Amino acid sequence: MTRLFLPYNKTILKLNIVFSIVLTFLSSLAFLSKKSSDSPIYLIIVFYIFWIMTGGFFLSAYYFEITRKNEYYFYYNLGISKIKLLLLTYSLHFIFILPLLYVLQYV
Amino acid sequence: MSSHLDVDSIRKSFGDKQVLTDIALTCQPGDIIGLLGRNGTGKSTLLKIIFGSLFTDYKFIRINDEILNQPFKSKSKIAYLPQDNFLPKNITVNKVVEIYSDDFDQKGFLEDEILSKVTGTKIGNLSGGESRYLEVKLLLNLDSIFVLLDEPFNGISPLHVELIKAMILKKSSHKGIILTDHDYRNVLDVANKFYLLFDGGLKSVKTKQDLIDWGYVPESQF
Repeated sequence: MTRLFLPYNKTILKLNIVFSIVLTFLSSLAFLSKKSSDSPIYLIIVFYIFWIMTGGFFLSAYYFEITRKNEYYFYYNLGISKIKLLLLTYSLHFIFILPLLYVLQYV
Repeated sequence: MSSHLDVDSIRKSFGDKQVLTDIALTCQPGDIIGLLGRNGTGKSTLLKIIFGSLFTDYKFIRINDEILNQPFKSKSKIAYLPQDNFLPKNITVNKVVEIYSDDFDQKGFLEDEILSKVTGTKIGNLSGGESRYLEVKLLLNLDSIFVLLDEPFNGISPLHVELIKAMILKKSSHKGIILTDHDYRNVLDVANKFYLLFDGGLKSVKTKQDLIDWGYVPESQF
């Protein structure tokens, strides 16, 4: 089943990485100037994980929706609805952030 | 009992404009239904509603004895070729066929005069004809009993048109196919039942004269 929606997952993940870097940069500018007991690297990783699983993901899905909407038919013809595609892809993003969560313990 | 697709009471409007009014249609394996109509008469809208990717308040769609709200979710029942290319452009022909190949033999599928030359090519680098040919071949080789083809001949060379026509005719022995295309001559060549979407309604077309009478083609065309 996973292989059926891997092309979608790969596209969304690539977009998400870029969107989340931009969002992390912007949120770091806003927060890192404030005094905090946490290390800047720790905060940057936390921001990045946060954006990957929230705004970055939704911006990527929205971008796909407006630029490559027709590709949904590739999945519809395999019996996969848009909601199912988004949920499965979102679930796979947890695997992507696992190494970051691991790194977080040592920062 | 043979398979059958029953469509009834389909209505769809966009704003104040009523595009489809109480459309009813039946399709069985062996049928190649040619759906004709001018631009904007709702041909694609109707196919999307039957497939289940476009919402409408009023519809009745039954495949065999199962009433379906979104038929595409029931794999092996229905497939749909949209007007524009739908394959992801950043993956290769091989990869696309691998993903779709649960229903057929991948190696045999790629062994033909068009696809054998482009197996490692990315979809985005295929010509319009190659891309359309691959899309139609993929959908016709799925286990789906019914296949909806929205403009399968659009913008492709005569060679690809002929190959696609031959494929449709071959597969129609055990599939029900509904197709639409702006080049009505191609539709007339392959279809064995004809309907014209006119003024929101579906008119059965029995003779070429019907097309003239409904104002779809000028008399000089025949």
